[in-house]
Amino acid sequence: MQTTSPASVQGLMQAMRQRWGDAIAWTGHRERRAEEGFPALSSTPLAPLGAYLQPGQLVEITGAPGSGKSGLALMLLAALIQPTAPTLQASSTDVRRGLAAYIDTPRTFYPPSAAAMGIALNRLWIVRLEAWRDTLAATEALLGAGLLDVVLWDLVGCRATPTSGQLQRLRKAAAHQGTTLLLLTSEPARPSQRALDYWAQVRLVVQRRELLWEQLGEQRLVGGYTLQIDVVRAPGKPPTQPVELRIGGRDRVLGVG
Amino acid sequence: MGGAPSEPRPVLACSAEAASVGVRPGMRLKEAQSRCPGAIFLPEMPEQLHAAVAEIAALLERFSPSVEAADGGLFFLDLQGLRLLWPREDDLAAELKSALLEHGPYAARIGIAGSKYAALVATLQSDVWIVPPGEDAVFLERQPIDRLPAPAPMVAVLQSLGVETLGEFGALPPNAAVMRFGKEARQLQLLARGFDEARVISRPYLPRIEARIVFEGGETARDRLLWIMNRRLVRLYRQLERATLVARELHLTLSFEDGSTLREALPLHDPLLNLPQLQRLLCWYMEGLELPGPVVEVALELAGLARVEGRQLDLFAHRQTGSVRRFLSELATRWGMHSFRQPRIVQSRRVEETFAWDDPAPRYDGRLDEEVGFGGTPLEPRPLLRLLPEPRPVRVIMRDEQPTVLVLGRRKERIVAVGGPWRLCESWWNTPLERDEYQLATATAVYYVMHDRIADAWLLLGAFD
Repeated sequence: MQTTSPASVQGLMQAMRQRWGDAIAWTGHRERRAEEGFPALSSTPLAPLGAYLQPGQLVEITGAPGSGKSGLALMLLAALIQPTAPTLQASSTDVRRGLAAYIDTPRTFYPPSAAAMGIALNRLWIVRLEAWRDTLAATEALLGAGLLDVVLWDLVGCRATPTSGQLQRLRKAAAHQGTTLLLLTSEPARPSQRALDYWAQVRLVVQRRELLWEQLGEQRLVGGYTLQIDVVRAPGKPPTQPVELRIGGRDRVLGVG
Repeated sequence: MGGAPSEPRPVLACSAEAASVGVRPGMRLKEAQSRCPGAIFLPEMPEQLHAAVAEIAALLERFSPSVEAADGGLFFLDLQGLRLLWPREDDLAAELKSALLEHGPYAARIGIAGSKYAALVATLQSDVWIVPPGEDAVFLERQPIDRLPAPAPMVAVLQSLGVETLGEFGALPPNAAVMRFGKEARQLQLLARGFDEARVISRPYLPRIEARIVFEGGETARDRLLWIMNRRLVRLYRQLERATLVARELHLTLSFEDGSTLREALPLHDPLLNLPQLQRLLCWYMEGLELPGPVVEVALELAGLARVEGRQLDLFAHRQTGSVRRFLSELATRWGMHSFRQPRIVQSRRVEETFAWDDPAPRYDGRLDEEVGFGGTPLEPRPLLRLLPEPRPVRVIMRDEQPTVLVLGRRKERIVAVGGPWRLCESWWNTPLERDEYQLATATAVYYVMHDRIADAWLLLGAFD
């Protein structure tokens, strides 16, 4: 098997530079940022996902109803808005600003649950607009402002989905400002969301494995669940084993699903 | 020009006729009136003056690449290296004069010399005066002392002392001149002897960053118009960045099919605006604009260009409280503040009343997150509840006082596990509430359901996801 030596890589880089100019330097910069990713994720249960996520990406989180995708999305949001200390080496997009927006299209956001996921509610703006066009424009404005770390757009139960051109614009705005766009969608019964399949840079498919119950006196309540997260798309990463994640649940009483 | 004669201000510019009777830029307006009683006094018009100066400078740049626009309607051209283009200086002077006359018409007085001061004095001799090369000192020597760029009292003292020409002033003992008139006298003596080291400082070259878009047949769709304008704006912004310039205004000209034109200068209050902010500005302007008819041409220009002397690095982006506040006000203007809320936890036993909404505020104080999140106290994440905007009536089939089937519309789901019930009784004295809350797990989801014991109705509050 032929191995790749550093010299041959350098030669290739030089040839590419001669042919396409300094655009390759830009690629190098992006790679540097890609290595950095989200340092805050490493100290969380979401650490296995850290290898796939970078600032400024369009990330789709999908799953069947009740699969735990919303919980995962908010947990991810909580981790991604952890502010980092600015350094001289950091570019403006590397510095976390500690603000996020939740575009609540189905109007089902429940603040106490979000707080339990670790989100400081005074750093979260909830956006509720009537018209689809306004929602789309607001999303674009929030992404383009460069003031937020994460914009989470909840599309669960929405009949309309962004078109290819709209997704392209959103992705561009997100990449330009380093604001991560999380799109929360229901898993389609049939593969109809081609535009989203094409434009999402990372696609996480969530499945609930077990429901964890807790005993509280004589009664019991849903205390948590274990999830299986399939990273079905990630730029430059080979397919991997599904990531298992446990959210909450101290005493396992009964498994469902 | 400069104001009314009663105002204590200097003359900014004057016509050739006024200059012929002794009126000079810098002279007090009152004195100008006494020298030229029939003069018409115009107010200071800085914008028109600036535009005219820029226009003349652009015209003169056809003759020399190095043109300095000085105060008082003076322009200096550096003629070094132009010998091949203009072998004879009198030809150049004649060409300059005719070009200015044709353009303005501007009546110009032209002096050509080896230094700026000598050239300036030469303009006072006649319409065109050329000082032969190397003869600046000789030329200045014979000039009257009132052509010395000195304060009027100093000139008066020199005249009273019998110093009539620049040559005589230059010949005075330097120490004596400095003792009498101060150290500036030394520099003035050097000027009078023809030693002027001042160079022509040409204005920096700034490209025009503009684009024109022609719509054949006219364009009426505002979205399409905006989309195309945005694309052009991206290109203009890239040009601006490449040239390391900043713009102070965005000029927009819309030409309509009926021949009318709309010109607008959108000021950019922050010259370091980034592209999305610029696009937003254009978008908002266009959204609020009434189009009287199809647009046939659009011209965009980034104007008021200036060199970027330095750019503040965005190291403290997480402290951008001011920017957040400004952005929030922009959002509120566009969609109303009720569309952007910040949640707050409220103590209540009723699940639907455990939170309230506030106006979002840039509360972040720059501290790293230690009080919440994964960096600080360990959290106990729970399954996330999605609370329906309004409770939805459902049907629950009970067996042995235990929920067994949940009926959602026409769909029936078998309940495999039950959490609760949690009984809530309150407000018996006012609006009595008596209900049992359940977590009902089916094969696909976990629902949050309540049984209103007073109305004997089952309501779906939400579902866990």
